[in-house]
Amino acid sequence: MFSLRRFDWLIFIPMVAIAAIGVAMVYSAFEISLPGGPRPGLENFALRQLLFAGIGLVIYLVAASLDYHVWIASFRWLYLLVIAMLLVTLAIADPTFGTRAWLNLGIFGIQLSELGRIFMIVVLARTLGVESHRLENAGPFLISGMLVAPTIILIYLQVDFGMALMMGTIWLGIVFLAGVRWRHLATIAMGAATIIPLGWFQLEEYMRGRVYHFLYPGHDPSGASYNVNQALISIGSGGWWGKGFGQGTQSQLHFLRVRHTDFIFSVFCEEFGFIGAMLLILLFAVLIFRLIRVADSARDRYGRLIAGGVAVSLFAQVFINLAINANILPVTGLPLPMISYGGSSLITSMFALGIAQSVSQRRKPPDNPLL
Amino acid sequence: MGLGQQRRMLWLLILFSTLGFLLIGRLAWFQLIMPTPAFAQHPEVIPAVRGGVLDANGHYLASSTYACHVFFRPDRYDHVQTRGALQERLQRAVETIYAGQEPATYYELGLAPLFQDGVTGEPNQLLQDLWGPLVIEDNLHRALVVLLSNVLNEPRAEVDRLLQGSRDRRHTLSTGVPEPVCSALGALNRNLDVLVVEPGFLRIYPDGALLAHVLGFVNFQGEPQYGLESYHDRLLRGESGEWRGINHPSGDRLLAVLGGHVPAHDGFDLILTIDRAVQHEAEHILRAAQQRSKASSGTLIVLDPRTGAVLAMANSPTYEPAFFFEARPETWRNSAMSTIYEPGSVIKPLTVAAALDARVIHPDTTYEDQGMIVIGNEEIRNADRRAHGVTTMTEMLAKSLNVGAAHVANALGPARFYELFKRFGFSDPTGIDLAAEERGIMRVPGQDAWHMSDLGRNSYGQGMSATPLQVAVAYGALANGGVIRRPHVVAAVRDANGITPLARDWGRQVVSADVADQVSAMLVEAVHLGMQPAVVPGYWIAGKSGTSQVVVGGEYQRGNYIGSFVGYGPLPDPSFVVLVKLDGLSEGQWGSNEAGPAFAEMFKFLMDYYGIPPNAH
Repeated sequence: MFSLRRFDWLIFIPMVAIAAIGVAMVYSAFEISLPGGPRPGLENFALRQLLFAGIGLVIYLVAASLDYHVWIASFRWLYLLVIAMLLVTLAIADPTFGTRAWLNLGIFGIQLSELGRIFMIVVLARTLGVESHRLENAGPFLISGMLVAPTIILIYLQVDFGMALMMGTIWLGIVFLAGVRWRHLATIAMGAATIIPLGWFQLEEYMRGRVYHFLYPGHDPSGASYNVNQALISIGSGGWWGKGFGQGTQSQLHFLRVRHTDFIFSVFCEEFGFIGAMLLILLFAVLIFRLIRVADSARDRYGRLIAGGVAVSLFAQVFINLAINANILPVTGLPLPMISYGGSSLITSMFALGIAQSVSQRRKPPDNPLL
Repeated sequence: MGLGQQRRMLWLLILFSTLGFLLIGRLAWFQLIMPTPAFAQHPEVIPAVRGGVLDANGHYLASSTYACHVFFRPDRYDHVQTRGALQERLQRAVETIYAGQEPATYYELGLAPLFQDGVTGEPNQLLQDLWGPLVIEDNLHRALVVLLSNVLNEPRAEVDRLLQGSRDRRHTLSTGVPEPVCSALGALNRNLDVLVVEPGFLRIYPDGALLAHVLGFVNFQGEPQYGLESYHDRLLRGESGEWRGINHPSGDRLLAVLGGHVPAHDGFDLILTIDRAVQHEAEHILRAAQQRSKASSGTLIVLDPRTGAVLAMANSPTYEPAFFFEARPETWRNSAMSTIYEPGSVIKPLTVAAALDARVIHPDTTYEDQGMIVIGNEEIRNADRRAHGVTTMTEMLAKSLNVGAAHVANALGPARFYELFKRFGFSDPTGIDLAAEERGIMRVPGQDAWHMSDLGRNSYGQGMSATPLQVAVAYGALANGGVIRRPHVVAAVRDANGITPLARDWGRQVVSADVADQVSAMLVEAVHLGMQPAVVPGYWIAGKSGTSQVVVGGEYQRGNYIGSFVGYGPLPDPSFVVLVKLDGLSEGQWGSNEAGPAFAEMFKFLMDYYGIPPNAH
């Protein structure tokens, strides 16, 4: 069912605006910085990104017109698919950039864990979207934990710390929104407090290094914290209004290593300044708050948790990426949704928003507005 | 859906908003508030290496080497953590090398050469000296004083004073520090900035004072002074490059913006016409002649008249360009081309050449020497105050008779005389490729100051002034079939692409080849008749001596004479013009006796050095 009358423009418009900014920034941060200038045809990352955005838009509209209960009904299959995708990736993926999360499919690599993340929102929504009184005992909560743990472990084994962190955050977010009792939440908190110090020694060397360089910036400028320093240089040199599109010295690129992906925000800050950064953050804020509003007015618990999960996922990813760029968090390697270059991230982000759109189109009439 | 769940939605909103504003605050801090000196991206100049100067055989006479200037920053030194880091680095480096371990860190590797004996790799005296203050006394200040005074060659007390000096500015510890010390101090100091090690260049002159006046020097401000350094500064200097890009706060260049890295184009090397051996001999002969004659100063020039190439150019006293600051400024001047004098009798052959060229006289012309002639109401007498009767031109030149020269000039008339003297190059720069050339003074008809009596005096080289180089170049016309070549010291320039000879197509016919040959023949005879000290056995030499007085304030100074000899040979195909000039001679010292022998010595050396066989007869 697709209804223009019930179509949620407050999801659609910010999404399209952000994706358009993303295409422009990939062009500015990467293509025009290449020694030979922008490349022709599909060698051009900006054109590719535009193509991905087109595909994403189609998938968005399809997902919006499908009833989200289709996903809920097939949650077992989705879960098995997630595990299968992660196992396949782990088994055969190419190690690019030191992570094995990329599955190389000819000209385009594909990151299956991105898709897995969306499906896990559905799986967790189904698991925790039970009647409130059933959450009095820890059953659904424990089951959700048992379902999510293997995916986190598999993603971690792919050396993709950022995505593993995301998965954990989504779980926590949905658990929280579902109304899991405070005593259960306190138990997780205590568990985490015990595990984190132990886990520190279990972390891969590179992860510990990143945390270290986060705590002692400038310690080794040409080494691991170099990129963060470069990102801060970019951000800092933007000022109020920035240097203008394509004018960032960092984008005529020296050495901001993943400037078109994880560190694209710092290029954006350099070129569009504080004002530009605020506008971009505002677009994300509108989108996220709208998703929370959609969750709040969803027809049922599943819809509520799906929209809430998408909101948590989007917020967490945006926040973590921006926080890394601004050196609030150590480098974990997460793209900025719909801005960073990358088909998997862009298309799955739009897919997730499509499912949220589907929830929105089937919402109940507003009776108890919170927002 | 309970109220509890709605409250959780609210909690989430609060969390998101809080985190969002935290992020915005952080961005505002970076973009709007935080000053970004560490991130500054000024364009930076990449200095070009100044080109070298090489002699005709490729020996370096001047070159540039990397050196640095070391400054001390009290503000950084007073920072407790910085001192701690500095001390730890020094201690670790000292202990590592003392223990004979392999240096591992950046600063240990950098400091190792300073602390080790170059040959055996054993710890050296500096390390022993550092051990006490650093390891036993734990006294960073004393250790730094020991280290810096040792490697920078500055007295300990001076370093100590600077380290404790005013805290609000940086202090210059040393300039022109050689490269190994620069990199060692750079490594020790990396990211600490207690010392500022600024890259620069040091100009070195491997042969000391050799060819000093031709080379010139580069002063402390890096400005070229005198000679080639000044004249060819644009070639030597090269083009500095530029760097715009990201630097680490330590100053290390990380990566450039696109097009922001313009590499420096180093200066050209100059390849001279001067041979270092000939120059050395010229300086030696000049110095010996100066001592023999007790002259105050002197000049010796060797030219190849066929090309204008300067083969030697020496002045005495001289100085060492690397230590220019120790010499009196007047010794910096290249007297061979920057000091004018009254040339005197060496001009007479040119007067004869002019008259021959105008066909006023011919080689066999004689005149009646009455010991006196009046030109422009002024009496002109011979130096010996005697009348010589009927005299040939050759005899006139051999005896250097002023009356004869004036007689010839009078017959020629001022118009033709001055026209030809202008063509010989008097009162015009020769155009040599050296800085600060003087042009000399010769008054000509039409100027208010000129008087007919000037014609008479000028005919034997008085009442006018010229540089020694102008005289030598004018003689070059006689030696080279009447054609003057522009004098020059640079034969070619060299850069990474190879050697480029400089075009030398400039030439000027002054007198006809016949006239030049006639005058040459007269001078060969004149040398044998009247200037015996200048004779070089086995070779035909044309030449003329001159003795003149120094003019101060329009009056000739008594007891201050200039003696000179200019000659060329070996005839019939002269390949060298040699001029010797000695200043500050006393009464009775004549050019032929004082400068003549030096000329002969120089000429003999040239014949031997270039392997020119003597005449068969």
